[in-house]
Amino acid sequence: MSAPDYIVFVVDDDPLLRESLQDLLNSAGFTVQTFGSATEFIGSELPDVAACLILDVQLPDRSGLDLQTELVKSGIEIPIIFLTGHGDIPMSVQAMKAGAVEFLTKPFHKESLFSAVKEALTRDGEARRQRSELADLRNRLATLTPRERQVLALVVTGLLNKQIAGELGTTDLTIKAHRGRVMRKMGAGSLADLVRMAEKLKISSEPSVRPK
Amino acid sequence: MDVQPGDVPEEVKRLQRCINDLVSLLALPAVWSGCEPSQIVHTLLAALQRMLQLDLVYVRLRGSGGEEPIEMARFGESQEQTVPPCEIGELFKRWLGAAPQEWPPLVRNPLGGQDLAIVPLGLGLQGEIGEIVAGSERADFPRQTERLILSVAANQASIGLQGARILSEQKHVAGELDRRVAQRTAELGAANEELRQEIADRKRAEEDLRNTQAELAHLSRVMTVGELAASIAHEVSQPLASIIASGDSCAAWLSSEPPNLERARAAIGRVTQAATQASEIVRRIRALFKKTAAGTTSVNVNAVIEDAVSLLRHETQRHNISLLTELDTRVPVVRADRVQLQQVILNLVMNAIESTASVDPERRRLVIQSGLSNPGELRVAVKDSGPGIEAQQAEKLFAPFFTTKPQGIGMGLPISRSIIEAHGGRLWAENNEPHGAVFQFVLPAELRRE
Repeated sequence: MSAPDYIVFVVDDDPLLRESLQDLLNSAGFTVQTFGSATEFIGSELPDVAACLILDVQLPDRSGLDLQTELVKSGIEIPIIFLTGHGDIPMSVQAMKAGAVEFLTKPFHKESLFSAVKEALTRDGEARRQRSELADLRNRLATLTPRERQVLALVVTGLLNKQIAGELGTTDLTIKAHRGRVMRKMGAGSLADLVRMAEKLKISSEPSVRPK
Repeated sequence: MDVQPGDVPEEVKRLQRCINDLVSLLALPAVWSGCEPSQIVHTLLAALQRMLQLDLVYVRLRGSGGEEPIEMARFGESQEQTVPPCEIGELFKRWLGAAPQEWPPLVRNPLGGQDLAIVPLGLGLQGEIGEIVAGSERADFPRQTERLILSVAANQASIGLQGARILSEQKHVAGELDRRVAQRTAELGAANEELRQEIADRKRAEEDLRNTQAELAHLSRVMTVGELAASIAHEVSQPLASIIASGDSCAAWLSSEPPNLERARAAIGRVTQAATQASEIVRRIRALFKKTAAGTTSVNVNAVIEDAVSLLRHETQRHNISLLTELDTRVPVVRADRVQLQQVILNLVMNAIESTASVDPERRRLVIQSGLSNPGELRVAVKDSGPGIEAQQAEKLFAPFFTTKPQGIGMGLPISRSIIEAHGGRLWAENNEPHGAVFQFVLPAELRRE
C-alpha cells in the first residue's frame, strides 16, 4: 500500500479516547497516527505529507499549548485542533492566536471534528504547496548571476530596458540579453509572471545595488 | 446473847432490814443497765422512800453539755399533797452545790406541816452528777443505818447514772454519727444527681456539637466539590467524548458496504468501557455529596488516596503540578468512615495544590505518601513545594475561620483535624525540606499484622 497523501496525528493521554478518535476518523476514511504524550510525538519521525494534529490541551508531561509553542519554535508548521474538557476562554484565545484551527470542547460532534480536520488538512496542503513553490523559486533564483539579479530587481519595478541600462551604466542591448536569460532561468512566461514571483521572493530594487 | 424467836429486839430487826435494804440497793445498778437517767432516779426515789419512809426525797441532776437539769421528787405516803419538783429546787436553791455541812439540819416543809430533818448527799465523786436530798419529819432522822443506806444508795445511783451518761453520750455520738452519715449520704445523693444532670447536659452538648460538625463537614465537602466543579466536568467529559466518538464510528462501520462488524463490535466495547469509567466518576462524586456518614468500615487508605487523586488529576494538570504518589502496599486496613477520610485527603491535597500553584512552574511538585509509622499506626503525608508555613501561623492554621484563600471559609483544616481525632488519630503540619509544607496524619490500624 502506497503512503497516504495526508495523515491525522492524535496526541492524548487517555488511551480510550485516543482509540475512539482513531476509529472514528478511520470510519470516515482518514489515516490516523496516535501518540500518548507530547514527548512521544516530538520524538517521532513525521512523514512528509499534508497533516494536522489533534491535541489534548492538558497532557501529563506538558500542556498542549506548550507543545504548540515548541512546534512553532522548531519550525514545524502543522495545523492544530485542540481538545479541551471545558471551555477555557483565555486558553482558547491564546491557542487561536498561535495558529490553532479549531478548539473543540469534549464531548464533540463528529461533524465539527470532521470539518475541523478537513479544513486543517486543506490548510496544510495549501501551505505545503506554497512552501514547495517558494522553495522551487528560490532554487531558480539561485541560478541567476549577480548582474542578472540586479536586472530582475529593476525589471519588476516596471522600468524600461533603456532606463535600466541608464541605471546600471550599460547599453539597452545588454539589458535585453540579461532580461531574456532571467525570464528563461526563472521559468516566467510573461512580465506579469515574473512580478508575481518577485513578490513571493520578496524581491524589490534595493537602493544599495544602485551605483552612485 | 440468848434471844427467843418472836422476841427479837427492835435494834436487831432494824439491822436486818438495813442489810436487806443494802442488798437490794447493791442489785440496783444491774437493773438500771441501759436505762435513762430519769428512770434511774425514779426507781431510786421509789426505793429510798419505801426503805426509809421518807417524807420527801429530792434529786437534782446537773445537765451535761448545756442540757437543762433534771429535777424529781417523791413525797411520803402520809403527805396529802404534792408540789412540782421545781418548787423544792427553789427551796433548796441556796444550798445546792454546797458541801453537806453547810446545809441546815432542818428546812421548812414545802408541803406545810413540821420542818424536815434533811440529809444532803452529792452524786458522783465530787457531786458533779447532782444531789440527792432526803427529808423526814422524824426528829431522830437520820439514824446511823439510814445514813448508811442513803450513802450506799447515793453511790449506787452515781454508778448507775454515770453508766447512763456514758451510754447516752455513746447514743448521742452514735446518733450524731448516724445523722452525719445520713446528711452526707443525702449530700452525696444530691451531688450524684447533679453530676448525672451535668453528664446528660454534656452529652446533649456533645451531640449538638457533633451534629454541627457534621453539618459543617458536609458544607465544606459541598464547597470543595464546588471548587472541583471544573475538574469534575473535565473528568466526566473525557469518557463521554469516548462514548460519543465510538458510538459514531460504530454507526459508520455498521452502515458501510459491506458492514464492518468487527470494528463495530470493538467500538461498542469502548462505549461500555468508557461508560463504566463515567459511572465510577459519578459514584465518587456522589459519595462526596452524601450527607449522612456511611459509618465506619474497614478502609484501605491507598484506595481512598487514589480516588482523591483521580478527582484532582485535572487540577494538578491545570496548574502544571507534578503529582507523585508513594503508596506503601503493606499499609494496614483502618476502621474509618471512608467518605470522611476521603474528605480529609481531598482537603489536604487541594490546599497543597493551591499553595504549590503560587511558586515557579519548575518547582511545583506534590507528593502523597502512605506508610506505617509506628507498629499498628498508619501515616499519610501530603508534601508540597509551596511557600511553606510561617512559624506564627503553624497553629492558627487549625483554628476555625482562619483562611488564606479569598473564597475559603477557613473550616477545611479544623474539620479535617476533628475528623482524624474522631478516628483516634492526629493531624499536624510542619515545614518540608528544602521548601514547602507537610500535612500529615496518623491513624490507629485496625489489626496488627500477624
